[in-house]
Amino acid sequence: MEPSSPIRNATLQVPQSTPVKANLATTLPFTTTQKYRVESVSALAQEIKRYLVGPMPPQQFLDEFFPLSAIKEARRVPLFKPGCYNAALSVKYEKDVYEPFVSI
Amino acid sequence: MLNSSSHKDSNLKSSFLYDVKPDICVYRGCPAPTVKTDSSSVEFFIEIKWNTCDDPFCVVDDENKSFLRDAKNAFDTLGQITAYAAVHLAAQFRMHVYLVFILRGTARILRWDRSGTIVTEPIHYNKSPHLVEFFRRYSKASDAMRGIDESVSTPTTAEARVARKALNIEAHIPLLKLSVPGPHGKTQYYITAPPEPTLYTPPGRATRGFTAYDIQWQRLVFLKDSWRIDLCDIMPEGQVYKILNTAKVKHVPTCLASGDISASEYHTTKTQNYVTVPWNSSSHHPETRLIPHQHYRLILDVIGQILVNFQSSREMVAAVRNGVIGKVLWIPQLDHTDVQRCSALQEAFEAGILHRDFSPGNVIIDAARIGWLIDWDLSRPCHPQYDIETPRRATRTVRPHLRHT
Repeated sequence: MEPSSPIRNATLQVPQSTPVKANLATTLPFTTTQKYRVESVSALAQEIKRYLVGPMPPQQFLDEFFPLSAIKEARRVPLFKPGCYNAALSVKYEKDVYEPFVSI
Repeated sequence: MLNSSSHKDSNLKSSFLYDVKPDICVYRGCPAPTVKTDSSSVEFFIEIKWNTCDDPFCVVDDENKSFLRDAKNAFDTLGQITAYAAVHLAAQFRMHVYLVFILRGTARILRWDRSGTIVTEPIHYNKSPHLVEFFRRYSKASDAMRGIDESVSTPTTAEARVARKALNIEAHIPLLKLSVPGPHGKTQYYITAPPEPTLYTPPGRATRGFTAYDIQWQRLVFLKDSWRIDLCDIMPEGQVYKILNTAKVKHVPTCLASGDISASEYHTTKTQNYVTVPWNSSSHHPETRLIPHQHYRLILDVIGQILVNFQSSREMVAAVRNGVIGKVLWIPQLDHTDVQRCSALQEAFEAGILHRDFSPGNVIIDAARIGWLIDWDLSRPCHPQYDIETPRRATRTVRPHLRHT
């Protein structure tokens, strides 16, 4: 008998429930890396959340912590140009954004 | 501004179990070509997330709701950027640090000090000038405005040579010169090695201890750098030592110098001043309580090791007994006769001071293997002459966290 490929099951349905996310928590839930990293990250987040104040309006933030009156060399001509981050924002994946962001 | 996303922290003093790899590091000038991530010299970190479910913050549309997202990924990101801020504060002498968090087209600027963290509204940085303006103002700001501690300088060559020999520090490790207010308003200077980062959440006293070289008296001392709680019912630790030393309480080190580092606005925390402002959505959070802190240094004449470095169980028991037990216990094998006669805790109480923070970390053993009770910064006068009657403080010693990336 000649070998043949198995018949494709045309009745297979696309899963309708929540898809399983393939990350450390699902693929390697019992590794020490996963266990201790999550514990420590969660502990930090849990502790800091009661010390967070905000959201502060950004202009007030700049004027209170970097007042122009106290910055001798600050030029009052804005350097910002709308769209200057177009290249950074056009990427699809996070790993591709670092270089265009730092090269502005 | 460097892409540091695939480079772990090269700070040799860092001893974290996991790598610290922020996406972008911003430096002053041009760092060495080999440097990508270095928590000991970085100006600020930038962390980028591209997936909206990783955003730890949300837009507030109801003033009674928090601006923090309650989701696992959001919590992970919050913990991650907290770790970066903690490493940054711990690796350098800084009063406060900044961090930029970017989620696709929006950015938030965070300011971390020892009282808490201020977070801005989301900035659409490709349309709004605020992020670029932050970069511009930061680049032109004074060191103090950036958060750099100007009471720390570089020793002269002659000072460094003597100090390096006294401290037995290798030639490749840089030395730092710290100023401490001395008696009669005269500033005194001490030389020590850079701090070794310890992962504490930024709010708190952030106590760091150093073996330091006293330039004036040419001797080794213990230097404590911390952010004391700046409330009227908490006496500065130097004043507590003065009471204890005057009363000749045994097994308490002698305080040689102490004081607030500077009257400058940058050596006091600021975050607590923004708790009651209208835009603060966390003001409704029942757990939000920010305490003002003041930068403080103190010099002691005893250089000790932590209690867990005992050489025998008898030594450990004796050291604890020096600190806490008032009654004399007779142990024939004990060599140090004086340790059987006194208790720092008991004698301090009789002198009018209640320690209130007795823990293994606050008992040290010196070279002669004698125990000393230290860290009196949360103590409280218990004598009627001080007339202070306030409730116990909810938070005291902040525990160090598990180390992580």
